[in-house]
Amino acid sequence: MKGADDLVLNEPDSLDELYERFAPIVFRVALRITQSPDEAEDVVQDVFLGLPEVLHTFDGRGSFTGWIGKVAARVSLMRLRRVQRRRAVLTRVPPLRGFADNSASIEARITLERALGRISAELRTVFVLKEIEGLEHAEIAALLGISVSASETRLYRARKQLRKYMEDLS
Amino acid sequence: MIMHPRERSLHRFADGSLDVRRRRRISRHLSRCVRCRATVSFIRRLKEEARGLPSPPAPDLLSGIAGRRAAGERSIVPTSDPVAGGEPRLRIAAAIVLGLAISATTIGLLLPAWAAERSTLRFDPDQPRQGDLVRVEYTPAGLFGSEDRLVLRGQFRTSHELREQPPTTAVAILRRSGSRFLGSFTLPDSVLYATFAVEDTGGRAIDTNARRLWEIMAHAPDGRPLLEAFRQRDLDLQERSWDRARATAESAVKAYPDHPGAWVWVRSRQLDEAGTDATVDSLDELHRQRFDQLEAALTGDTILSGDELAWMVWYAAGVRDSAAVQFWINRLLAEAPGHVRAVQVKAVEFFAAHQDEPERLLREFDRIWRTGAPVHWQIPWLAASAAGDAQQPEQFRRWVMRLAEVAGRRADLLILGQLNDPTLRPSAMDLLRWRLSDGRFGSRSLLQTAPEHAEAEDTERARLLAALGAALAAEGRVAAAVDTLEKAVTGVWDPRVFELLVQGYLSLGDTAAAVDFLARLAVDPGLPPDSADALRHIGEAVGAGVSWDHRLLNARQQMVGYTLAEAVAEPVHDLRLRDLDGRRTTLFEEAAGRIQVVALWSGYRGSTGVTLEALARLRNRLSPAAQMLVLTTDLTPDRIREQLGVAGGPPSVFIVTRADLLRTFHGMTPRYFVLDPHGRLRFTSSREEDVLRQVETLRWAEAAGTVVSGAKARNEANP
Repeated sequence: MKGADDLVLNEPDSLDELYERFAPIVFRVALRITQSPDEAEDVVQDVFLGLPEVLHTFDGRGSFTGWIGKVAARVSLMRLRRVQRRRAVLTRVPPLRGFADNSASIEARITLERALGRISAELRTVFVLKEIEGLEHAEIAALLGISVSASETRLYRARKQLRKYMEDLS
Repeated sequence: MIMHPRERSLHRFADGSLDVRRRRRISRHLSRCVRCRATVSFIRRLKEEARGLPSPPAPDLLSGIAGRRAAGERSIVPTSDPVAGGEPRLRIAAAIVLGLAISATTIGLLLPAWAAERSTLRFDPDQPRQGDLVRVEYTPAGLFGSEDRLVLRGQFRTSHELREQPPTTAVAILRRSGSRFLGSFTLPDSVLYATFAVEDTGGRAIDTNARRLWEIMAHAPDGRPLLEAFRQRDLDLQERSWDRARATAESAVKAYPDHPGAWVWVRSRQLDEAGTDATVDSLDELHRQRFDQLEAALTGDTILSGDELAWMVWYAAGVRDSAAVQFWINRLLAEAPGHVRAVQVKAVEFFAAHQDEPERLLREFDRIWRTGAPVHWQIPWLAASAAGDAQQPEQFRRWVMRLAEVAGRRADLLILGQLNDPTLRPSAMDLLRWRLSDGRFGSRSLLQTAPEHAEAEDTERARLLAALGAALAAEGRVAAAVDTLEKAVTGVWDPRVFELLVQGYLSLGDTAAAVDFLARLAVDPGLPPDSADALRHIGEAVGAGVSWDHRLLNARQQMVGYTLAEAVAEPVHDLRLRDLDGRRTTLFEEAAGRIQVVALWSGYRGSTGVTLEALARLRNRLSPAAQMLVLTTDLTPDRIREQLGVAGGPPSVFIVTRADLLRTFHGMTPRYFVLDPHGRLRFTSSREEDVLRQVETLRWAEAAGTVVSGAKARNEANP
């Protein structure tokens, strides 16, 4: 399969391939931030309806995967400001795929998913971007329009709250 | 005694972001401290579990997306981060455009739904009786192009509708047959009046027949609509179309000229629009005569239904005949003691007689409740109020939960009212938590899409969370208050919550978070100007890292975003106005292309209404881009001048007829309406602070040349 950068730089209109490679990333980021499968689907649509037209803005610095992850995060945050739904995660935990049959890890995953749904969107967003998507605090701060120290503080508070909820849930 | 590292340091240790010296020191501590080791262990496990969360499979949306792109649809994808400086005005405008363009794209899909050329929905039979099978044929106009199935969503109103707002439900699935959609349902035996809308299976695109909805009235065997069907239609239309509500009452009287209920309703509508004392007097005389005729016909050996008896009580009260009121109450209680209105009358009388005996009162109301008969919401309301006044937390809790079954919003009002009482506060806080976990904040109305309803629920939830957070702060539980208020603030823009968060974060020593909320307070135009200046000074002094100006910029963006999400876009009828000198004009002529704040003011409302002083204060704080029009229906020019002289300094005051006011704004409760320069209603508020913020947001959006289209934006014509 072509590299993502080849895809982007040489065939900007290959929507099918773009979708196949990057829709899972967009959906994952959107789902983690919005906690709503319906909203995450809308984010996927919003991103891919306009993505071919903005591919040229990727300047090659960093990975394309990281770039599209940030695009997904921005669109998710815009949506999140309008519709905050934390309950969806309690009823539609994403299906398990590719995991070994390890009931302890399944239980831990479900506990974490549920706890994520219980913390505030502001804290959850920083946690998702840092711990799951692997962004640095400077990138998160720029994305969210906050200071680096505020990003660190929110991560710290997110972990504290997650610990409390996960202990309650366990 | 062991000294433990700060917990933040333990987190940094787990992240591997400490320098060597501090890392060694913490390692030594961890070797002998189980507690801190558990913390570090948890964080490492958390990071690992987070990294190991599986990626859910992406939904199969490609063909839909490709189809929409093939149809020329595009979205604007944000490829850069929010403003970090530079030219604030243009960049904020760009940010607004980016944010709204995506929304507008989505809404652009839905605009055809709401701006539908007239679709048609036919019922067969079109005058059904209760229990009939009703066939449905729906022909969309330019909407639902690719759908195979649609949902007919309905709201059923039954006799003596006792709920605050009847729930809506999916009544039937409509399946495509060529260019039409077909389906059927059975009109339940108890249903008198029903309204309908058509939507897609996800509840995202909705055809409301230009907000008129479609409707069915249950009919009698003789072909007339049932009398109570008129009543339920009248009640339903009062919030949507005052003209049609009045026409309903008039039709009821024509169809049932000998029934007191019809006369009670038409009298109410006539009095609503009566503009002068002379008109009221002549109406009173007309109805006095009519009441006497009905009483003469119905008194004696005639057997009357519970409904007829109840309406005679109400008609007697309307014409202010106290002897007749007591006569008909006695008949109602004797001849229809189980009727819901009889129960209500007895309960109210019992309350009036025994309100100083809370134990006895609550026992009686409990007995009524346990009969299981339909009960008006007023009964649990009175019981809960009595329990609250008597400071009986358990009884208060019990009755609020019962009230919530039939009138959730009223239950919330009661709960919020008790938060200031230290004795009842813990119980009220428990009830708030129950309401939050219960999650029922009212059924989705037929005029709302599923996302809009979710947003309305989230706003409601945020309001309750804010109240709970404030109560926790009052109890001195600062950390819990901050956590709760953080959840509240994600859904709404509420300066009172920001203030509590600033105090809470400063108490907890988290200056950075406090400064973020200080910035939000500083940009809110609802704040008194001297307070805003004081906040700016504090922010500049305390703010760390990112500049204070940058924080203000971001806060302003957030304020605009939240406020725009509340915006509607409803066309309004032009209003005929008369100024104090008798000059005739209209609402749109006075607007002159500016943002308008229309304030309803009543000279007779007293302390419950907005005062001229408050209006003058608001007018002085409005941006020059906006103007205020004060409308009143119940004072003569001389009386108005007299009151303006006392208040000192006039806003522009105009006289308008009640009928015109009702037709345009569907109500006369003192409040503010904010219209954009194009004459569309954007916001309805009851607080000055909200009006100032809404006007400021509109000003920004107009200056940036953007389309104001919040989640509720519509562009459909009024009926």
